[in-house]
Amino acid sequence: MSSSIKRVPIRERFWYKELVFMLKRIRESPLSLIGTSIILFFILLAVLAPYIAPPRPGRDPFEIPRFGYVPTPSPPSPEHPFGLTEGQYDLFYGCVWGTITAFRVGFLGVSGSLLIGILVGALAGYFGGLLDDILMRIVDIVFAIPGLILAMAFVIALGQSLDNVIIALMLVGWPTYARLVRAGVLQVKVEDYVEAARAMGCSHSRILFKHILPNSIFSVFIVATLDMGSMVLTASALSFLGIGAPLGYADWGQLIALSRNWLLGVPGDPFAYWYTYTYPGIFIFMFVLGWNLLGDAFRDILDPTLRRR
Amino acid sequence: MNVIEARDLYVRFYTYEGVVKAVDGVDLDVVSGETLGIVGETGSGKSVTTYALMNMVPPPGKITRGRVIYRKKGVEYVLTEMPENEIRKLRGSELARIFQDPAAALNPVYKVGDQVAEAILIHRLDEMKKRALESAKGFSRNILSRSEDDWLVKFVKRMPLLRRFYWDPIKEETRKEVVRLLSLMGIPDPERVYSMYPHELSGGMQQRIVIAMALSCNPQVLIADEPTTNLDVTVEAQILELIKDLKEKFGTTLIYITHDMGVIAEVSDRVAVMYAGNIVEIGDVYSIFKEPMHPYTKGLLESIPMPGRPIKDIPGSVPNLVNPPQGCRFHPRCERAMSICSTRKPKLVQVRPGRWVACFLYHSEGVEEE
Amino acid sequence: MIPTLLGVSILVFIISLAFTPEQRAALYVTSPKGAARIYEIIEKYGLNRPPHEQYITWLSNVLQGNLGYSKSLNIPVARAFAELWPVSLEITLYAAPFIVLVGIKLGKISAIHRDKLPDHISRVLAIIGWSLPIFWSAIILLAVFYGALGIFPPGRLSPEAQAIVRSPGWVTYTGLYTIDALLNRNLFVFFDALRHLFLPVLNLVIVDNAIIMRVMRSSMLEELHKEYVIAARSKGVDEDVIINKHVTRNALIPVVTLAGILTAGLMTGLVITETVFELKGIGYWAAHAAEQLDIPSVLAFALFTGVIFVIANLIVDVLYAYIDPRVRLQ
Repeated sequence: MSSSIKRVPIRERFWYKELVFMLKRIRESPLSLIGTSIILFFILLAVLAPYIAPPRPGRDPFEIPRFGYVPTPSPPSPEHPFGLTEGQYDLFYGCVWGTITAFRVGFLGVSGSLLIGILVGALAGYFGGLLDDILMRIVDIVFAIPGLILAMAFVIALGQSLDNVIIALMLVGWPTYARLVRAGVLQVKVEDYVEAARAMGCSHSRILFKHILPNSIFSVFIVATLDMGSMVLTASALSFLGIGAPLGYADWGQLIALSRNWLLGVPGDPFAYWYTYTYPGIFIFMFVLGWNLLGDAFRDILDPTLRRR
Repeated sequence: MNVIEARDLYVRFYTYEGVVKAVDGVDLDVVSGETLGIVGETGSGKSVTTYALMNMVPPPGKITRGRVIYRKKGVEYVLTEMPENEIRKLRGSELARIFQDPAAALNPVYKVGDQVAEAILIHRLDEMKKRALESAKGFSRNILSRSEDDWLVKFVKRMPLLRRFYWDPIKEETRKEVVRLLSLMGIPDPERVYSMYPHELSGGMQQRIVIAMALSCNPQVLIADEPTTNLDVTVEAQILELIKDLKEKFGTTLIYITHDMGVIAEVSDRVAVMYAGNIVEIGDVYSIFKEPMHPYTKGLLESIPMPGRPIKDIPGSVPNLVNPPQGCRFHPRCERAMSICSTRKPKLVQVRPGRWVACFLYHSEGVEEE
Repeated sequence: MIPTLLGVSILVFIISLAFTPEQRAALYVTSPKGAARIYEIIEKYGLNRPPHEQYITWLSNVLQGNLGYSKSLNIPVARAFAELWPVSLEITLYAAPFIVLVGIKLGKISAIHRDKLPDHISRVLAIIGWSLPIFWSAIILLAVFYGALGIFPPGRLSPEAQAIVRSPGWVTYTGLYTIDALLNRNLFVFFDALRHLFLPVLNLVIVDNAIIMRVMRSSMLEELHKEYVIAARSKGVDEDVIINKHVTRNALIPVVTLAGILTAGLMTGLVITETVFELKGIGYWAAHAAEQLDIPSVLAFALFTGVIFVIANLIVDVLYAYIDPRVRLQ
């Protein structure tokens, strides 16, 4: 998707200027402010989780406490502010701790993809030739199978668990970064200051890291922000389908999976069990929305053709 | 007779970095039938002024003050006060423009012939319809002979399969007219070129197409915005010849913008010199070259490389138009600047018949700053 | 194209190697009886041999149409495809045009009224659509429009329509109920099928139009500043004509390249949407199969989607020459 992001090589010296300019524009854009506030809220929630929804002593905090075994969900009450979903799992607890799960999945998934992608992209772009052809062919191949579906295949191959979901996400997500970084490297490779560095006898890795990479970083940054959201979406979809987080784990997708039998309510009251799907769904939606707003705002800010007007 | 008059023209661009005062109080008269050359560096405001003359200053620019009047057959059109849909009727038919980058001025996905035809179909539709009527047969003849208010005509024009009876003969006549125009432009094999796309043509050919587009409706005024700057020198000569030729043939009033003094000398009757959003000198081409008055004009002439004479350039650079210098815009770079030059801005004043200068060396009328 | 396709098959095959030979045996049989004779299969297809040999065997099987046996459905995988894909095709047939049209329209509006209210609304709508988990939007749609209002039910047909379709007078031409209904001249079934398609299609449109909208918007903004627009204006061309004829035509070019990504989004969307709305197409099958560890089905589906993606991009390349005259000389 690099075609939708315009890249302009940024002179090294003006790094800082660009950053300041960017921060200024962020402050001025209402959408990015909303996005930032949403994410800050979730960070706060994640940090305060042990206090807001105290885990039971001696148990894994990511195991949602159950208050009974009856399948029928129970509505919100003072002890259970979001109610209890099928199997009497506490929705409030699940949503709060699910925040940490979401951050974990997103952060690890994006980091892993980033690392692999940057490595592959930088090597392919810098050295070119056969290495480039092979690596890019691999990128094309992994891209050919849609993300969720490939992740499904990886997860059943690796075994169902949240950690394997994260690994699957990394394996599915790296090609995007590889392409971006490669394109950035190719563009910057021919700039004069790289020639100068090479003439001075800098080693390959020094040139790569010090000169080329910083300039490709901005578009990668945008995609990484957006990816935080989409990785969580994919992970929760996998949980929803039953091949992600295990039953009873604090994961938003898992919680929605538990609500499937209760969508239609009871005769006469179709929304009797609204809380089972509304709360976890809102959490996922807002989390992803926050990152998308932020990433979108960054994209607009860093797009040179839209800048000077 | 003045075919165009601009009075007290101010154009501002509202950009992220500030308000750019691109045109800062310009008075200009264009005489019918003449070639007026507008010369100046990049950023002098020459292009923007001519856009203002057509009242199509692109956003974020706006005409903030002043009037532009267009005269034809005794009728006065105040372009700055007319509604957009009225002005549109004048653009293309009375006022036309050719551009610096012909490849960019042409739409890459449409055939060049169709692009030349576009203006004809807008402004000369009745004429084409009349011609089509003469050669049409059958149902087409029937439809075309009726008045536009006729119910059948309205109906046929809206029906997908039937509308070709109305349009095909008209389009055919238009096509013939376009082919005629193309050959007038010196384009070989115009029938074939009609169906080609811009990228398939050379720069010179593209510019001929752009000129054909502009002259397709026989406008009274043609604004040429550096039409040869992007072309090779040999092609430049051809296009200049073509323009001069066509101007003779059609009697068009030509406003020619360039930064090249050599081209100005070759093509213009009168010259207006612009600097930083103002006209600093106007005069007929001979006396401007023989006896330049404004220091900037002198500097321009002296900076033309000529054998046997050392190159003399004008020190300094074009000012920032967001915060232009106080007083005379040129004074920081002027070797004959006086103290008054930094406090008051000189007005463009007629100091001799046919000669106007904005410089305190020749008069003492200042302008009230905005 | 061929190398990429081969590469996709290699990728799928590599994933399959994560399973034990016993599990992989199901990839080679096409009947329940066959599935029982695991050790014979392992021998016959060399499942204990080196990987590259196995790959050849597997690939030749696939090319002959043998994709294994699906234990979640109890039929051969190839047959599952044949029987289930009309459902997915029908949904896609309705969803794709709307996604494209809505995306383009919103993108256009956004670009024309840049930074004003319509732009902000369009962009917010697109971002919301993109941030919604598909399964959640599907659930909400179902709960509201079916649970509460009862207008748009899940499944493909109501019991009455199903009875008609199963009756001897009905001829099945394509397997797509809307088309078959028209061919059988039965408007009741036609509208019934449409009613059942409404929510799944709406779900896909909401979630998938964002990328098209965004590309259309940025591409139009770019074109709007080009010189040929100013040239057209100087000819006296109407502003509406400039936008709808000159600019749109050029702006659509980058949008065409999205066809591949759109296909990927659709297939992903199908997996979830078919599951929630109980439409038994290939997406539903893939989701079901994954849950039940039905390896041949999941792998076959992955292979399928990869192939479709490559073909979609190929079509785009061909179409590109048709749309952009600058490319035609090649």
